Parts: sequence; structure tokens; C-alpha cells
Amino acid sequence: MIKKHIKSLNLFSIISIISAILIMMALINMFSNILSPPSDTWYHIKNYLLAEYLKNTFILIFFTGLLSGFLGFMSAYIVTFYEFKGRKLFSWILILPLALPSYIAAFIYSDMFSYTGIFSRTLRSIGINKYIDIMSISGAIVIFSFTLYPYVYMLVKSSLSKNSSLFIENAKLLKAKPLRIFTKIVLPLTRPALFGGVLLVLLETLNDYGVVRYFGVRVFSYAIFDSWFRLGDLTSAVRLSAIVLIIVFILVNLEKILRGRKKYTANVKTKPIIKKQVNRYFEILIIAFLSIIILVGFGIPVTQMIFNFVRTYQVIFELEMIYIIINTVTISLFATVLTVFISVMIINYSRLSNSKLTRAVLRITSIGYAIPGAVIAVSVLIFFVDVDNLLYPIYKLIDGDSKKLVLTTSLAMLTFAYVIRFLTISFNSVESIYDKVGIKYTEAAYTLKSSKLRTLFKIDIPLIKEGLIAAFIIVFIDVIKELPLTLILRPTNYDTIATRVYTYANDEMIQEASGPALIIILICTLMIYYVTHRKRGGKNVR
Amino acid sequence: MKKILLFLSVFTTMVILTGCTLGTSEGDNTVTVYSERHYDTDQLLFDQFEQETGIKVNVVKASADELINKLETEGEDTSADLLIISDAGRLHLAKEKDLLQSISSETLEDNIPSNYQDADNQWFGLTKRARVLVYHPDRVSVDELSTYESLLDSKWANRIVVRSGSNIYNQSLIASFIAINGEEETRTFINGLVNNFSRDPEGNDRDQAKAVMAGIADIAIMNTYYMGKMANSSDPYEVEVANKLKVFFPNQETTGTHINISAAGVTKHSENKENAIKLIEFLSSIEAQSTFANANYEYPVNPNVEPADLLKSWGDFIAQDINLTQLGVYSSQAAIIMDEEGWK
Amino acid sequence: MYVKLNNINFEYVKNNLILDDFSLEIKKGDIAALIGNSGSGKSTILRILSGLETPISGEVIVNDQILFNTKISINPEKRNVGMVFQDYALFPHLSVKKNIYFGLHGKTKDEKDKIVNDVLELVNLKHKINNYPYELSGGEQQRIALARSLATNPDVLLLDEPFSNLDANLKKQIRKELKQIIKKADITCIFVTHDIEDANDIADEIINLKKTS
Repeated sequence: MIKKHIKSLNLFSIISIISAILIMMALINMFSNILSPPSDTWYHIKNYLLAEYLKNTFILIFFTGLLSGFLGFMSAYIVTFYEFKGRKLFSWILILPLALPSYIAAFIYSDMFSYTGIFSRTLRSIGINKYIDIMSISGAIVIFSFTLYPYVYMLVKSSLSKNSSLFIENAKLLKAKPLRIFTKIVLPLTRPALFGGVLLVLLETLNDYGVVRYFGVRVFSYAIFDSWFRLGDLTSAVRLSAIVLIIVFILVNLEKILRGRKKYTANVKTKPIIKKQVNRYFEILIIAFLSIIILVGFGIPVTQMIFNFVRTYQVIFELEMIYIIINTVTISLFATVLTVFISVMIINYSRLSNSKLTRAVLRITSIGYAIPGAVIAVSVLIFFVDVDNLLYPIYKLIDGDSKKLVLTTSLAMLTFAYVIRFLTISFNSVESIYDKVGIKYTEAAYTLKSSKLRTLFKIDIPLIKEGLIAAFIIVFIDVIKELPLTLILRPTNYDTIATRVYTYANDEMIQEASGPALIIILICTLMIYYVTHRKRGGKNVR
Repeated sequence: MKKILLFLSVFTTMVILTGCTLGTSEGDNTVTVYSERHYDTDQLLFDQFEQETGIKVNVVKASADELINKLETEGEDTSADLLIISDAGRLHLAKEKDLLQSISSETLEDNIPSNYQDADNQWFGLTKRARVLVYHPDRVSVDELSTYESLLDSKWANRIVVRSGSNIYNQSLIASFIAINGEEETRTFINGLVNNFSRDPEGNDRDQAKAVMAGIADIAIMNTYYMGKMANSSDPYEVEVANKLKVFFPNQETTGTHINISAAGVTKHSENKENAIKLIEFLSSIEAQSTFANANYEYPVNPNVEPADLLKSWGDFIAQDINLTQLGVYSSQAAIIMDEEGWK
Repeated sequence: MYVKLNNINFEYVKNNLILDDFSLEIKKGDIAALIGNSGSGKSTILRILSGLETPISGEVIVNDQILFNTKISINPEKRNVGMVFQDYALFPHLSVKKNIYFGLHGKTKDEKDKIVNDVLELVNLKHKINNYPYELSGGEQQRIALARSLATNPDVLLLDEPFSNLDANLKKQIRKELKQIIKKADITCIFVTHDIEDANDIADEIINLKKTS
């Protein structure tokens, strides 16, 4: 898309620049703490714990990347190239594990594998007195891989169908030497998608706090919380955060370095792929493989939760639970609308002007997703306390009895953190639809004397509605599942379903946690169903 | 467009409103409790208190660390009057951070033994939990058990499980050892204990009992409270575990079994100090203590109240004879030497 | 002169001038053709006139009003310049009527209806008033886009490659129609083309752009 040179202040640029400045300030504020001299605790961490944190984090992301990449790629490949019974059904339910937050899967599986859990009981009943220990780093790898592989699956699948005509042109070859084609064409062409998907999985893994905390796997997010809360040392938490950011930075740029200057996407028209019919044995094999993935990543834990729920159903019919559900939906809706709104503003700003400032704004506002929740939480909290100190005289002016920490104790803080973290995600879907629609309608509207705002609402929004809905749903799912940010930044007594599930689980009440957890899963499942089943583009765009 | 704007403004207002109501203070006759405990029993008692006194109880629940951090950041602004936390070490931390205040109350002196109170009367114990040995009777005979320290014997190699060292209950356990035996001896203890672990620490207290049941280990170090919870679980298999395994109170001949308490302290900037004191007094009363004992499987601190039948069935025990303030004094030292001696 | 571009410098990429000290003058009521190869910057001139691009330096004046100079830069929506895009850019989610309505923001419904009626009559497509863009042929879409621009009563009408998207056998016919419509509307018009025949057929004035290199 050619960038245009319209320079002047307007709603888009104002909102974009303010967002960028706020995010920038929050992060800089935090990392300025690094300059303060290291505390004794830091030496303690460095001498006794850092090596373990590094080792565990490395093992966790390496193997999670490998396994989730394998699961996601294989399932996408099978669904794209083979025709078999239930293919259509599989192609969307393979996304379902995204509806199951990793930490909930961890709670449920550890319960199922515990001595009193169904697996161990079943094993014992058939005379095998073996105990499978999943509360370990390998358990965490399996949990992350099976609940997060859909990121890889979705990206690889769309990349495969986009590059389909290339495969068709090579159909003859495909018959002759499938393996060669696979390694020479399919794999290189989908590599960016595969890496992109794995990257998302790893960012989520680094962000997680629930699973590693519960399993006692000492990785960085655990360490940040631990040094902050248990050792009471914020500056060490900040130092650890800086190390995580370095790891993230390496991960994000790894693919770019590996890819070099090669280009893997060819701009060719998509044609439907002719799927290969498979024989019966192979079909059974395929179906078994896909079923196992979905059962492990979704079916089994959800079934167990339903059983638990039947035993403890009273939990979710309490008045308090209804408030919690209302809280969750309200804050998620609000944060989501705000996130999508800001991303629309920033994208409009960037597509109407192209300056160093624009590029800086874009870069700053889209780093959020790469930063683990624990790090964002620390920075946002420090930032808000500072802002409140700064604004205190103004509060006093408005209300003589005003408290100092007005913003810090309000939902504004949590909302701000959600926006920072999920802006990137909203960005990507909004931007891709804007790319598809192009800029000509917007320009035409301007030449018809329509203001920027009017054009946005009357022309842009109706045309990019589909992308907005997608962005909305993806962000909403993420917000509703979010744990570490919510846990730290929520106002006192403000529970969301996610924090309630976590509290129950931490209280060793997995049974009771199942009801609220099922609510999250149900909401997310419905949304995924909607995204995958909605009719595409009613009116003919383009 | 109008719809969208309306939608946006409605939500903005909602968020602002929720933000504001959280900031405003309640009417006069209230008491705001920051509590780590989120048990139905506690709510029941608060309701009862409200009925008897007409003082409205607002409860804010979060983890101990969160609550302390919150109190710290809120400073003078806090709406909290009472802090309730289920670990003496953490309460001591709150005291060190100057978040609590000393109070005097004869009722409390009468109801609560002095070693369950802070030396400066900044916090008062409400309930006790003992950290005991839970063993499988088929594999361990009760004669083999004596003290925590005896667990270092090589015969227990690969036979002991306990949860993570970063858990506050273990941290307080080690703090009590430092208080009683000194740092050197405690280091030897941790080191030896870790050598006898059958696996790296993982899971919660219940998981340790289940590991013993599963044969991964023969002895678990865990809280009595969770044995009580399992015996009354909604999961029938947990009940089975609780019924099969036995509880042993260690160090009965020597220094006594380690106990920890849930305790309450009035916050430094409390605006309803009198009400807060009344609430602690109420919670230490015979009536409230019986409720704690019977409904939540905790030992009452009030010596005039009997523990629940299940707890009595495990027998009486002698507790460590230290002021629980010590748990807080040695808490961070405990955390550090546990890391250094390799208790993960 | 009615439309004036004075000493315009323009670049998309730094240090690569597309327009180097370019000037242009057009009389009121004339139809002017800008002709040149691709890359000669002819479409850019229209975009500068409409305000979609901002030059580095120079001056843009239409109807005695300064639209751009070193101090002033008027946004496209504030300029009274109409533009028909190469692929027409009819809003796909709006009917023909709503497409034309869109540029008439601020007028009463009666005024709008009258204008819609007039311009559709002018382009001879009154019967398509309730259709959606995708239901129209290419030539019809072009005429609707033209009508949509004319409805705003611009000082000058810009047409970007008006014939490039049409079948060759229709071209002659359409050229004739277009000329009729523009003359009837009595409007100053600048259009861009790479085909000298287009220019000869329609324009009163032909401006030949040579690629500056």
C-alpha cells in the first residue's frame, strides 16, 4: 500500500501519538529502575536461581516450540491436502483448544493424574500401579503444546491455501516424489507461517503464570512474581523482566535472521486445492491422529470438568458468581472495544501519513504482545502510582477529601494493561482487512468533501466490518482468558471468572473451579464457532 | 455511528462509576477487612457479627502478598481496617512495613494465649494449623516416627514428599527451626531433608498426601487442615485417601510440632479502629471459635474451645514453644537458605 | 487562469523527484488532457490537485483560491475539487442513490433528491438509482462515479485514466458520451490518459508530459 502524505493533526494522529507516548512512558518508567544499584536479593537470585530460571525457560520454550509446531503443522497439512470423513468438522474443531486456557488445562490434568484422579485409578484397576507425574517441566510442555498449537494450525493452514496454486502447478511432481515436494516446496513456503505460529505459542508460554506456578516449574514469569512478592524486591523483578525481554527480542528476530532476504510469499490468485482421496486405513490413521490432538487439548479435560461441575454445580449459581460473570463480560467488552478502536485509529494514522514519527508510533504500540504479562503488570503499576502522585493536586482541587491513588485503585489501570498487551493482535486483523480493501474508497470519500471522522464511520467501518469482528472476537477471547495481568492489576475485590478459577485451584478446590472455568470455555467456544462459521462478505467488496 | 458512540459512552461511564465506588469510603458503622481467607465459614461469622452488632463488614479478598502490597501502596488512603492472613510470617512482614498498629483489649488477652499474639499486640491469632507428618500405615510403622530431624536418617531416602520451598507454609516451618535450632543446624536439616526427597517438590498439600497414597513416597509433610478438607471432599476418592493415611505429630518429646496461625491485625490507618477491635474480639469468642473448629478443620486458638471430632481423633499434641512472631523474624532468612540448600 | 500549478516539486521516495519544477495552467471551462507514459507523474498531478498528495514545494491555485503553497495546505475534504478514480471507487456497500447522497452531506433531503435526479438524468442512468455498484456494467459504473463527483458541484473535475478499464470496442462510444456529459455540465475538466486518440477526441487542450529522469 502506498503511504500518503497528509500531515496535519487530526483525531487519528492525536489518539495514536497519545497511546504511543503512554505506552512508552509506562515501559521506560519501569526500566529506569535498572539503573538503581542491585539489591542483596539480586545477588541471591543471581547466585542460586538465575541459572535454573534460564535452563528451565530454555527447555520449556524449545520443546514447546517443537511439539506445538509439529502438531499445528501436521494437522493443517492433513486438513488442507486430504479428503476424509469429518474433514470439515475437524477443520474448525482443531481450533477449539484455544478456548481452554492453559492454566485450566493444567489444573484439570494434574487432578486427573493425581492418585485420586481417573487416570491413576483406571491404571490401578487394571493392575498397573504406575503413577504418571505431569506436574513437571515435561508436563508443562505437553500442556502448552496441546492447548496452544492452534496458533500454528491457523497460520499454516491459511498460508497453505494461499499458496495453493503453486502446489497445483506442481501436482504432477507431487505424485512422483511427495517427500521431495514436501521438503522443497511445502515446507519452505509455509515456513514464515510456521515460525509465526510457533512464535505466538512461545510468547504465550513466556506470558503464562498459572501453569508454571501450579506445576512448580521455575521459569521467568514465576521468577518475576516470586522476587516481587516472596522476596519483596521490585528492582530484582525489573532486572529479571529485562532478561525476559532480551529472550523475546531474540525469538522475534530469529525468524527474520534465518529467513534473510528470501521471499516466501508469491502473489498468485488462490484456486481451490484439489484434495487427495485417501484409502481406508490411511483415513483411520488420520482421524485417529487428529482426534487424539483434540481430545488431549480439549475433549478430555472438558469432559472431566463437566463431571466435576455436576458434583459442585451450586458454585456458579450463587449471587456472587453472577456479579463475577457480569464483571468479566463488562471489562472484557470495554477493553476489547477500546483496543480495537485504538488499533483502527493507529492504522488510519499510519496509512494516511508516512513519517519517522508514524513508524515509531506503529512500532511502540505493537510491542505489547511480546511482553509477558508479569512485566506489563509491573510497569503499569509503577506508572499509575506515579501518575496518581502527579495528579494528586488536581484530585484535591476537585474533591477536598480525595484519595491519592484514584487511578491506581480503579479499573483504568487494568484496562490500560489489557490494551497494551492486546493491541498487536487487534492490529493484525484490522490491518489485513484494510490491506484487502485498499485505500481508494477512503480517498474517494475525501474528494467528496467528507471529513475524516465521517469517512471512518460511513465508509471505512462498513467496509472493514469483517476484520473488525474478527479482531473483536480474538481480543475478547484473550482478555477473558487473561490471568497474570488481571491477578495483579484488578481493583480490590474485583474478581473475574479467570481469577476466581485461579483462586479455587490455588485453594486446592479443583472441583469447584470447574464450573466457572466451563463458563470461560463456553464463551470462547461460541465465539470461535461464530468466527469460523459466519458467512463471508454479504455485499460484494471490490 | 450514534449507536457506537452511545455504546462507548455507556461503557466509559460504567468503568468510571465502578472505579469511583471503589474509591469512596463507606458509611460510619462499618469495618473493612482485607482477608486472605476466602472460606464460607468466615463469611458466616461476618454475617453473624453484623447481625449482633449492626456493624457492616466489607470483605476484600486477595492473596496475602497482594493485600500487603496493596496496603503499602494505598498508605493513608486505605479503606482497610483489619488485615487477616493465614500465616504469622506474613503478618510480621506487614508489621515490619509499618502497616499495623498496636491495640489493647482485655477480651483478646483472655481469649488468646500470649504466644499466639504479636509481642507488641499488633496481631492476634485466630486459628491454628499444625504441619505434621502424614504416612501410609502399610509402609511406615508409627514406632519409626519421632521428630522432623529424624527424617534425615538414610532409611528415609527417597521416601519423603513435600511441596515447593517457595510455599509460605514451608518457609514458616524453616523459620521456626532457625528460631529454635539456629541457622547452622537448620541448614543441615534442609540439606538432609532434600536428599531424602522422592521427587522434586511439586503440587499443593493434597498432592503430597496423594503421592504417599500412590506409593511415590511414604511420608508427606503437610498441614492438618488439608487432611480435614480431604476427609470432607466432594470427591469420594479424596475421602478415601484421607481415611487411609495417618497423621503423626512430630517432636512431641522434644521441641513440639510446628504450628502456624491465621491472625488478624488492625491497620495503621484504620478509620474504624473500634469496630475492627470488636470484630477480632468476636472472632476470638467461644462461639466463633467453635464455628472455625467445626466447619473449617482448623484448631481453635481459644483454649476453652474443643477442636472438631476429626481433629480430636488424631490425638492431642504439643506445639512448638515459641512466640509466632519468630516466624516472621526469620522468614526471609528462611527463604534464602532454602534456596541455597536446594529446596526447590 | 482558472487552474494553476506553479513550480511543483514532488517525490514519493527521498531524492527521486517525480515532478521537477512542474507548472500548468488551464482556462475555465476547458477540457484538458494530461498525456504521458506510466511513471511520468500524470496521475500524481491529479492527486496533488485533489490534495491526496502534498508536494515538497510549489503552489496550487484553483478558482483564485490558494489550495497549497509554502504556508497553506488545505485538506482534500475542504477543497472543491471532484475526482473520478481509475477504478471508480464506488462504495460497494451503498446503492447508487446513497453513493451520490454521500457527497451531499449537509443538504436537506429535498435538495439532495433534486441533485441526484439531475445528475442521474445527465448521465442517463435514472433507472439504476436503487442498484448496487456490483450490479452495474463498467461503463455504467464510470458514469455513476462521474455523477457522484458532479453532484458536489466542484470547481474542477479530475478524471484518472477514464478509459483504461473499458472494452476497446466500447471506447469510441463512451468517449463521445463522456464529452457530451462534460460539456453539458459546463465544468472545467482535467483527465489523464496514455492514449493520444483519447486526447485528440475529447480535449480542448493537450499537455504532454515527458518523463523527467
